[in-house]
Amino acid sequence: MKAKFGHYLRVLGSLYLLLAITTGLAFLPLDAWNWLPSVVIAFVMAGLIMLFFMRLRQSEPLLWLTSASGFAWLSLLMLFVVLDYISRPWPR
Amino acid sequence: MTAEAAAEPLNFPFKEAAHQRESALFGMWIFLATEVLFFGGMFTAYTVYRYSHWQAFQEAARHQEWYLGCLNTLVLLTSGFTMALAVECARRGNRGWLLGLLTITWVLGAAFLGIEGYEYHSKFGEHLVPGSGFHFDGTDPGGSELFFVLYFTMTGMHMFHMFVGLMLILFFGVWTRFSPRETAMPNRFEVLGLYWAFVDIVWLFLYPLFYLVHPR
Repeated sequence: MKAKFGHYLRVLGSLYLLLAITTGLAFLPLDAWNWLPSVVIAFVMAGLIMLFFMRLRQSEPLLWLTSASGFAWLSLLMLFVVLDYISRPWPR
Repeated sequence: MTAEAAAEPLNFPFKEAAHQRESALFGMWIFLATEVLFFGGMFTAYTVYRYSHWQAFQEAARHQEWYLGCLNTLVLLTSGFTMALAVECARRGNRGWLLGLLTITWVLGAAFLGIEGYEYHSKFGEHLVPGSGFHFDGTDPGGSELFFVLYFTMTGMHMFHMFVGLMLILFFGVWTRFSPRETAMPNRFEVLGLYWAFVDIVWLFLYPLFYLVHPR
């Protein structure tokens, strides 16, 4: 149990660190692009939680596939919606 | 007691504990995939409106307290940690620690809802709640109102999920406390742990999209 505690504590430490980084980056004058690093870091944090807190690392391939499926469908939705909006003028 | 000592009684139609456990986890992951799509629709709406009302979103986000969002993220990450440990204890049949960790997780979850409730309260005071009382001085008040529509809808749905999680923790915790000592139901805690971690993950995206757009 002690080993497990240290293991989870390291994951939590990494998550705290990433939270500090994403919060700090928000204050940089990136203008219109400040969403990009914060969303990338959010994905990294989500990945850490899924791998360790949700134990995907020790899970069988079926669960990997299932966990990825939701994101796969969502990325299709996002991709085509965004393509539509950036490829033609937005009526204001 | 060896690791993974706690075993679940077999329910129909399962003949092996491993099969029963895998089915429980598989079912939860499928549910979570549908949840990704449920929240995903709202994230897509956010993407579209942030793209089309860029300036208005920047102006609206100035009224967000980034430090409250950051504090909430800290609270939620910590609760994810205690929940992961609680699941570990449930798998080992360590009831005392399980109940203790569930209590800490519950308190952290409740603290999150408290902080969020405080934010909602101050939004009402600043007339930033969409509807007839909404008032915003900016270049595009309609666009800024959209920001707050999305803010209240998405954080509101997230809070509802948190509330359900808290009720489940309470129910399973009380159930464990008053059931016979040898009753171990690690599967339901693993499934609950997956749900709680998912609710954490949703917040990880809400935080930058609503609090870090334009921090002061």
